[in-house]
Amino acid sequence: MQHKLLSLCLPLLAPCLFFLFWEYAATAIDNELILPPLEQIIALLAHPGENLISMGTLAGNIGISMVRVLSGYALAVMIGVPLGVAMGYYGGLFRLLNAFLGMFRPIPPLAWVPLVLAWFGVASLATLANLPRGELYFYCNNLKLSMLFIIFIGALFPVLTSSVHGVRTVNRTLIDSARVLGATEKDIFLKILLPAASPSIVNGLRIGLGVAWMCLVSAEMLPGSLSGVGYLITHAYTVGRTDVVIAGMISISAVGALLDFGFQWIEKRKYAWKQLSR
Amino acid sequence: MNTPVLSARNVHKHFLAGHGETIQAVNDVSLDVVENEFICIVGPSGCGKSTFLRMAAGLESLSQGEILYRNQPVRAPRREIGMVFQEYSLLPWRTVRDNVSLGPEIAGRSRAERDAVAREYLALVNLGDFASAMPHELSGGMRQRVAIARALANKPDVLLMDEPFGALDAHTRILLQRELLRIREHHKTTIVFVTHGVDEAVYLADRVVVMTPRPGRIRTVLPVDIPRPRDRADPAYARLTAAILDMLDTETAAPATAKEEESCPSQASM
Ligand SMILES: Nc1ncnc2c1ncn2[C@@H]1O[C@H](COP(=O)(O)OP(=O)(O)OP(=O)(O)O)[C@@H](O)[C@H]1O
Ligand SMILES: [Mg+2]
Repeated sequence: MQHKLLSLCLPLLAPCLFFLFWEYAATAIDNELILPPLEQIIALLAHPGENLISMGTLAGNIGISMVRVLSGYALAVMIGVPLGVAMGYYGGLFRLLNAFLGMFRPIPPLAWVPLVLAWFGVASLATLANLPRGELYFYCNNLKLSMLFIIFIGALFPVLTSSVHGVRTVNRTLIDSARVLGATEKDIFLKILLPAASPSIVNGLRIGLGVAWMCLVSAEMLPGSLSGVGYLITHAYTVGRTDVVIAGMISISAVGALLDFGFQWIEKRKYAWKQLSR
Repeated sequence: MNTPVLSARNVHKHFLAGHGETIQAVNDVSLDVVENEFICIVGPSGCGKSTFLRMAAGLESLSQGEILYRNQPVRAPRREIGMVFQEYSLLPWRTVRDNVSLGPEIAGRSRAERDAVAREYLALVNLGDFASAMPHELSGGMRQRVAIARALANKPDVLLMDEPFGALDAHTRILLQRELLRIREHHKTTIVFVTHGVDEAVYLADRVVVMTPRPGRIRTVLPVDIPRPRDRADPAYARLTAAILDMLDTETAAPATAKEEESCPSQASM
């Protein structure tokens, strides 16, 4: 009983010490620009609907950021998973593309920024689709092509690599055992390859979403951006609102953890066999 | 009755190893397997037993010669030729039931039919209570029984078995050997069974095929004329076992293959 309580408290110990230290440092420094006190941040987070220094609300900005990330991410998934599975399945396609894609893999998404700006400028989904001005235009204009690209490129490689790896490492004996039962190529693909590769694919989806979310700030620093958590952080910095910067950072952390938690839950529930089978 | 079900004619197989050198795995193997026959192939590790079986299953191409199933060349895997693998081969994400009914599922049977088949064959291998279990919840011996049930549930005409009991302890092994013979009484099938246990071969087979070390050739084919159920204490049984062991021994004593023997000791002593 005592032991259980202790093990429950243990993970809380480090955060508590951290916040204590923060409080202490904030009072000692006594400069809101360098380190605002904890209460100030909590107050900001407690009222996410409040309008902040003409940058919209915290909640609103998080919402816009999430839509951006999910759009770029969805694109990466729609291309990454089928391409990865195909590359894992067809050796020829793998040899054709692997070295080529490998050239782009090491480039940090942020390094694409200048090029992406030159290509897309401030074009958005709204201008691309030639939408009439109106509410829809307003929303779609928030989805700048340059941002989507940065998020897309960040999420693509984890998704692609895990899909390729998942399919390529499927146990040959499992495939053979289906073939001797009379399985067609389609059976093998649907009943063996996909289920066998799916833990790895889902793991890639999870890492990809994490990376996409991390690319957020860099994407929202791009010109033409007038909203989003990343914009909030960079803009708050220029007007000296460190408290808003930190509140934004905490929101990014919280949303990121929440998204990741969803995937963890799926992995635990659906892919327990992967860990349990030797 | 005596037309061969499976017939290998001068089968050769070589592999191209990574550094451009060819490995001769199977060398000029000819063998006729007749209806309802139980053939055991024994030979030292690496002599090409698995390779031969994979060719017979249509999973591997031949370098030379041909393998016929009822007078048709085997070019691709087919439902009539089932196989139980040396390695672990159950689908780990499926329940035992859905593993056993994989064959009927591929054949497009309905859910109800599939479940009935799974029930029947799981009962046959004494695993009726484990239909809803996942493979990782089973012991090694139980998994191999599921693999056997899966192969049988597809109603193959010939069943190829590649050291199905190789990874099991001596006691479980003997138990499953007995069970396999019992199952065969009810479901007449032609079986080609690979092992490197000489005792196992003599216990199970109608004929024992003794292979030489790599490149695998057939050294002799010995009929086992001991009535079943066989008694391991029977002098004829002991004589035959000793004779086969002796054959394998003189083969593996050759210096060129001494290394292979070291890495995979014969399990015949069991
Ligand atoms: N795909 C392959 N590529 C290259 N060489 C192979 C391949 N498969 C088998 N071999 C070689 O062929 C030879 C025979 O292998 P095989 O697996 O048939 O032996 P085995 O008799 O089944 O041995 P064991 O009793 O250990 O299972 C070995 O030397 C092996 O290295
Ligand atoms: Mg083998």
